[in-house]
Amino acid sequence: MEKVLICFAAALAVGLCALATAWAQSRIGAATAGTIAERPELTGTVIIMLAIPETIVILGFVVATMILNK
Amino acid sequence: MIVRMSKLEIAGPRGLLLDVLDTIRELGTFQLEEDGAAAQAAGLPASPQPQGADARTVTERLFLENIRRQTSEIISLLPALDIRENGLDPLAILDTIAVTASRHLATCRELAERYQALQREEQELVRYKVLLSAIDRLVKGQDTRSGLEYIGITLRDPSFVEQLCEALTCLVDGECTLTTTVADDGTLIGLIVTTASRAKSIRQLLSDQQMPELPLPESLGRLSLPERISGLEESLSATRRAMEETVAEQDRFARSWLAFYRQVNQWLVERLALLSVTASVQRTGMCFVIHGWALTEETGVLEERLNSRFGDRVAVEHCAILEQDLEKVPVALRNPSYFRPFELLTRLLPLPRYSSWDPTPFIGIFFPLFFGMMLGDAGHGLVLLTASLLLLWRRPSGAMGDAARILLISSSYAILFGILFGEFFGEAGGRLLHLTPILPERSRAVIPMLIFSLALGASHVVLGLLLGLITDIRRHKRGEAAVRIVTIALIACLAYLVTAYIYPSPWLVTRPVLILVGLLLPLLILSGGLLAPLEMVKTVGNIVSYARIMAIGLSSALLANAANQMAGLTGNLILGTLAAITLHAVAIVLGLFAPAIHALRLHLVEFFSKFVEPGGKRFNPLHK
Amino acid sequence: MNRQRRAQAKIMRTLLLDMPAGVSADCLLARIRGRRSFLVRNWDRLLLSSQPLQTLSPAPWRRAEGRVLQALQQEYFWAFSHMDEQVRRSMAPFFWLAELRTLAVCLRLLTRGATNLDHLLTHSLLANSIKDLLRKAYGCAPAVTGLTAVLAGYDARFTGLADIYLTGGSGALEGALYEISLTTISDMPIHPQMRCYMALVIDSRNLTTLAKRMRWRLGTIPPLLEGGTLPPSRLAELFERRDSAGLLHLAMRLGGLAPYRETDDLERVLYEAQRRVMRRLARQEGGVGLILDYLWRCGNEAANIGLLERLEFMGSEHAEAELRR
Repeated sequence: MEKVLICFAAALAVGLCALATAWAQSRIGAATAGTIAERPELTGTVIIMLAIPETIVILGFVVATMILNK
Repeated sequence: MIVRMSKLEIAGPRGLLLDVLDTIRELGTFQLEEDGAAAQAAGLPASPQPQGADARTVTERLFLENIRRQTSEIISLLPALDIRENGLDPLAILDTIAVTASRHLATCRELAERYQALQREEQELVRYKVLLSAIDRLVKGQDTRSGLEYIGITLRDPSFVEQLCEALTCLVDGECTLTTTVADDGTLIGLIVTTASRAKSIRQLLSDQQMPELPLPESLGRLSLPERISGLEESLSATRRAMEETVAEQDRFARSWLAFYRQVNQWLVERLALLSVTASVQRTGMCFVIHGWALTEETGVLEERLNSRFGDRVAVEHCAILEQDLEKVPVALRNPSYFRPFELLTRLLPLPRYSSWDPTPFIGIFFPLFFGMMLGDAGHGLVLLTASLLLLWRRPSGAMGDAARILLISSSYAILFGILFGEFFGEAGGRLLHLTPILPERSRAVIPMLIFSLALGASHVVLGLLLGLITDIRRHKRGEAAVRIVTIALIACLAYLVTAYIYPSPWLVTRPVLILVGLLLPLLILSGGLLAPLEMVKTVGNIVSYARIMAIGLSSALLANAANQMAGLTGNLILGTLAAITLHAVAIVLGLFAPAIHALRLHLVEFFSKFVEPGGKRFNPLHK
Repeated sequence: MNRQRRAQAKIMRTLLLDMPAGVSADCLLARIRGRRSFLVRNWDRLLLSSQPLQTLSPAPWRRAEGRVLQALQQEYFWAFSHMDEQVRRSMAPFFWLAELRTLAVCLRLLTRGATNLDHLLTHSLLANSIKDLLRKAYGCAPAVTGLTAVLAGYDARFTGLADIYLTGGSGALEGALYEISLTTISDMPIHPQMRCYMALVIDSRNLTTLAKRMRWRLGTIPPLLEGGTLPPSRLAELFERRDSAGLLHLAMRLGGLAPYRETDDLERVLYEAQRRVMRRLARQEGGVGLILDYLWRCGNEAANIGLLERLEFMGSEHAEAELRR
């Protein structure tokens, strides 16, 4: 039973973070497309912006790994 | 690397200004200082509206601009012939050109207008022809000698036919017929046949309804229909003949003058460009002074050329670059050929300032390293290497070539790390080839990989802070340097504490380090203000962000393993091979994009923010 | 009642062109932010140069060929075509008011016997039914009759348009169209930011009408529009007292300006107030305010450029007083 709970906690840690990242990226992605259409010189900045929320899911992943390895 | 710049001051007698500028432009290594501040520092009057300052220059510019406009119009009006240009110096005969250009422009305009008028006439005649032949079809069904009147109309919409029929019935009580046909160009044509007595009232009705009778050229107005058509043919061929004559005349004119005007125009464009440059040059009544920047290594050539051409009449002086100049120094990047492709990635960022660092060499060293660590599969790396070699085979230039070279270097690193991790299309491939993993296997040793990634992140971030520290010390910014030193010390302490926590050992004494941290924190606030601890937290966050090296590496290893397992599950050699190829292709595509974007992000967000100061102006020398 | 009003808000959209939905709101807002950064910020500096129009830096909305007003129409068309349906419904009142200009120009041209209105209608946002009406009409009168029929189906208040045209001509018709549209919009449930903008438009119109009447010393009070932030009764009171300073005071308060300033130019003050309100709207959440601000500023820029074009040969100092900065 405890193992199930541990797995569930790890899944939650990654899953919720992934959802949050997905939502953030969807909005940033839409804005990014608009920005590049108007000012192509900002492409670099925009790529960074798009990759920023991925930190959330990576941290979630790290937390999940730590939960599972405990 | 950011190339060293020299601040130059070129002075000479005013009459030589244009020649000096021309020489500078030929060499293409000197950038003018656009700002008047330098001149003010030198004690010369800065001219806020340089054109207004000198009436003679303005007159000259207007004069030349006027001729340029005329010559370009002449060129645009004449047919574009391919004629060899002759060698003439326009400066000597400028006044004559000014007179002839306006005369020739009038001639060209007249020719062009005549041609256009003829063209319009031709188009109209062709349209009449279409309409008349449509009417002719209608008339053929009628008896033309009965003294009846024929009225042709164009109808804009088929729905008007019914309306018109009704109106006509009311008006002339059936003493007319309306027939319609569609002309070759799709226009709906109607023909009303009526008695001569009724024609007038019908015409009145049509003009009331704003349905104009089919207009005809006046010369054809009084003729009967068949005569009209043959008349039309005649005038059409006459118009076409006239058009041909005009074209021939234009051609004759172009043959004798086009080359000349092209050359004059080219000369004028260059002369005007020079004159517009003089706007940002400081002048007194007798002399001029040009302030600007040149690459230090190329100043010798510039001096030599100016010296050989003007002797000691023009002086070139090197000025010291002052603290307040640093903002204005233009930036040129020059890197060894290994790093040059990586300028593609640095171009994504704004240009660094002259006093800052060129990030290209750093991204050249670390980007392939991070990429290789994340992809870390010899097989996938080999595929990407082949792809990059295939791309380079065609000798692409520009961004494509740079990207291919970056891929070549990065995939080599991926192969290297693949061998170290013992992975060749997944771990199974590695075992098959008897690759012994030198480093721990990524798919199992998650925590060691995490610690390694974080350690790498800490070193990378500390390197960035050290580079920033060097800039601060060079520019004598003591406060910011102190903040960086304290931050580096705190990161070192934190790293020590984390190590002591993970690998407890009697040798790692934590208490003194904790006390040191307690001492450093107030120092941080003292040197950097209340926001400094927040910055510190951000820096720690940046280090934690390097965990992505482990996370993406793990996912790419697991993806490759999953591909192998699924291929194995098919239990069939052909199906299994197909599945393996497909799944590994997916893994390679993901393995190309995810590591590239994340390695780039680690540089642009975490690393460069520590030492690159954006806001440099690109070195843009005067050139032809 | 409420349901009927909501239905009306939807129908205002039906007066405009029907086209497939554009991009998502986030994307459009990012593009508009990008385009906004190209708008002229410092007109004073531009006027200092010897040829203001030549030194004008290029902006995306002016990239279109042709006259500046056509470029503006194309920019409105661009913005509308990139909106999703929800934003289009929210923005419909703005576009309808903007398209009234196209309608007015078309009617004027029809009165003069023009037959080809395509240059005006290609990038117009009017609904296809109205466009067809204008394209096929012979003369102004049938067009007005058709238009009245279409608009009366939308709101009964438009019924009298044909009579107004017969008695007052096209000038009176244009005024009536604009006023009835404003009244209709102020009765509809609309987006709060759009409501704020419309209140501003109505207030400005009421204030300028009163100020003009006072300047020309006309005795009767004109009908004032409901729906603004300034109550008509208060305005009427000021008019009775012939208190032009009071009007100026109200105009200053409209944009939250300090109420005392050394100017008696009502239009200048009103413009300043509008600029402040629009800037505030642009910062609000949701995006409608931002789009409104951008399109409004494009409109001003078009007006300024038109002015500069007209005055190019007369010297730019004449333009200085009228520029919308």
